[in-house]
Amino acid sequence: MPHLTDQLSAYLDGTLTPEDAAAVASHLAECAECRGTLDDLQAVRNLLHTVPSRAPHPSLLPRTLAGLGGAAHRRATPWWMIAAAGTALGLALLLQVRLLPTPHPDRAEGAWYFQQHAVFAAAHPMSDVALASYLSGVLPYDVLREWSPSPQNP
Amino acid sequence: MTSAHVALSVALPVDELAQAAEGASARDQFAELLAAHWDRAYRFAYHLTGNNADSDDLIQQAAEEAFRAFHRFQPGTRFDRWFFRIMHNSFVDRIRRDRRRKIFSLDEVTGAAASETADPSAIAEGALDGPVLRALRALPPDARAVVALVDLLGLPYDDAAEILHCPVGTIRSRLHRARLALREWLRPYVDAMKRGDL
Ligand SMILES: [Zn+2]
Repeated sequence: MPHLTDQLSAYLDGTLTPEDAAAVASHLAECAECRGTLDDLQAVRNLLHTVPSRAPHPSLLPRTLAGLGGAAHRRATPWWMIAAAGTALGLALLLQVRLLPTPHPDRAEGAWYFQQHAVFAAAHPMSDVALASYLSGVLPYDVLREWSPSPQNP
Repeated sequence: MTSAHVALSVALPVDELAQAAEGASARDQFAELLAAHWDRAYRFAYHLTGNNADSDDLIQQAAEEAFRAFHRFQPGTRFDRWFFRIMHNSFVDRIRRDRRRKIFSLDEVTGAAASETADPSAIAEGALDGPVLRALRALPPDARAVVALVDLLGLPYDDAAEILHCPVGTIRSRLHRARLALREWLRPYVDAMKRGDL
């Protein structure tokens, strides 16, 4: 009769039917090798039971719960916001090429501002408001510069 | 200010209100269930990934996915099994995506970790965590998942089969092979355990 394989683990875990368990028991009574394996398996299982519980960091659950639905919300960005972002990006790139030298003598700084704006507008469609304000002359350039992140620390 | 600004201030609050009224109770319900099973779920995540940083990521991703799928959860069925299954699926996806991480078969791994894990000096100190955890990490992911569920979390084979989405017979044979591999890698500790020294 061949030696027992995974019946041994199942026997140890008590998951065999009574008939199968009886068959395993009668093999074990005759076979020292399988008895040895069973003892080993039992020892392995006991070793595994010594592994301590890993507790999550106490802040992990509150942080996880607070973040729920965040990704879904981002996906639910309305189409008009995406369209606005696209328009802002296009305008910003166009203006950077065509119009910058006229409104501001400091070309490098102006170019930087519009680059930042293009990137920012893609991520935050409502920054289009800032661009529109700038174009319509409501806000002076200095104010816009203050609002935007500095070149040293973008 | 601009038409865009007006549209935002009018449209968004209405939208938010509608969502909040509809989703509030489901969210609370989900939070309550998740909290009730959090520690055990984390334990499963920890033994799947083998470290704290990855288990934090995994359980958070699983929570997000479960929350989005929560309308499909049937009240009265066991949330922990459902959540464990989602988490295990996320884990499998991660492994597939992560091409840097090679997945070994159990046979390839057998013997590979033996010299690393056998440190009899640890027996005297009773510091078993290290060797046993290292041996667990050396198991291939599918075997590790079974050992985590059955031996570490104490779930029945049926539940493990449901969570890992495979037949009970597969659970049984994987578990057995994993235990045999652990026996080889942890031989000094196994013998000490049999002698009653541990
Ligand atoms: Zn035998």
